[in-house]
Amino acid sequence: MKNSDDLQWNPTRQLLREHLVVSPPEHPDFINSQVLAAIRREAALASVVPAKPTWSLGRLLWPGFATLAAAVLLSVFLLPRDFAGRGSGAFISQVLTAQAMDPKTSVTSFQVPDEGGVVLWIDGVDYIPATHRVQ
Amino acid sequence: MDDDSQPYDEDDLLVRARQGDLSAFDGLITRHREKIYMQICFMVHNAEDALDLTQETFIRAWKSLARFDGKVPFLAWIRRIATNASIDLCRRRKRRPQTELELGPMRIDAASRTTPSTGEVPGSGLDRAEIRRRIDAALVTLSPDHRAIIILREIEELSYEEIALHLGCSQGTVMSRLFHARKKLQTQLTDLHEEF
Amino acid sequence: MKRSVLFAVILGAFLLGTFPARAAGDRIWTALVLGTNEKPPAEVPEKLENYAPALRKIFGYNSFYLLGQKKRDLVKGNEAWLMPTKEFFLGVDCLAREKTYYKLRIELYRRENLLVTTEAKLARDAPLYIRGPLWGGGQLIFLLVVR
Repeated sequence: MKNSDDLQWNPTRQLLREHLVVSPPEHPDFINSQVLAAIRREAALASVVPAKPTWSLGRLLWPGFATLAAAVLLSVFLLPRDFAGRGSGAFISQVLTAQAMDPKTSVTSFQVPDEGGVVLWIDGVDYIPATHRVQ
Repeated sequence: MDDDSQPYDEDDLLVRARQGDLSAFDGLITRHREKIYMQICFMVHNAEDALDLTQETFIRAWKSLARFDGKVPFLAWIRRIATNASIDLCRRRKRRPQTELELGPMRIDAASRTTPSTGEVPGSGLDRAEIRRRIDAALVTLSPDHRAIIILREIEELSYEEIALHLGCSQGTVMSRLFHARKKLQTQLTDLHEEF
Repeated sequence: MKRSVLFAVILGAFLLGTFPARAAGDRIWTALVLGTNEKPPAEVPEKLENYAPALRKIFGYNSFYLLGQKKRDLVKGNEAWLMPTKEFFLGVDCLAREKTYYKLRIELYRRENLLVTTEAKLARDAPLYIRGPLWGGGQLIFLLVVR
């Protein structure tokens, strides 16, 4: 029984082995650098010793109310109400500088005012044939 | 990559890594990163997610290094972390996997309902791509645990004992899950190997 | 004691609610899109629906396909490598975070070659569109959006 099950499975196994192929990572050192950077970042955060509180909760109460009042004033008078609003120059994207590395390549930018977006237009990069994989 | 001709190197790296030596851990990453990456790729069907999970696997390994007791090979231990991370991701996913890994010249997000009609893709490339899509679609129907077992057994060619170590379950569980996973895949892919 | 704790909680909640929520949870989403002209036009992928009108207007194509995408947290001082595909990838370095935009340094690579480097201000939901090379019968377009 077991052998006939194996015989039935073999073609499917062959199919899997033939078609389930994966290339190794393109930039394997990238893995190392990212992992080590993350470890160092977390170690740096963990090494920060929180300062001992010099104020008790009771002592913080009045400064807390004062901060609250200041925060209310700030939010009412200074902070923007609608971050996602359009029509204001502060809420659009913008290209500040752009540089192409290859002398054959040129790059320009322009705004798309209706959507608040911006376009970086690259010319001179080689055409890629359809048969070439980009993924 | 594993280098079986220098077993003491890995032991030395492990000892130093457990003492906090990052350069030693760097060496361990270099040894095992490709195997871990490829194992995760098979599970999650997405190169970018696989890259993220590979990094996450090694970060988790670093944090848990003190708990590694050496009763299993280091690679088996790392593989278990990788498998768990992959299974977690598969369970969290609600969308169909993107088949980005090996589809031929034009690879489109699985969410797209149509494909471009350039007429420039060779016919044989499309056939392979279609087979791959069918296989990926069939694998998705398996639970993450069953998928892991199929990958570890059929692609990575691990023994039942090794798979049990990786997944933290008994060999009986491995064999049972493997049986059901194979049955399900067979049903969905029989026409493929008959036709091609 | 209980009242003090309650006041502290209310204070904290008020302060958190007062400042813009952009500080937490902002991510950059990048996508590689293929634009083509087809009869009839292809259905727009769900993730590109918001951007299709702009894509049509800017680049003149009527069909779009999503070839790859990636999301990353935006953290000032951290460099994020976004690799929508193997052939092209983007390095995004968050230089500054202002009230209404992020200042980013963006590098577009083709394999190991740096094609373009740019510094840009990216406001939330105001995309940066990068016109890439022609591929087969279509155009490669990179999309970067802060969300």
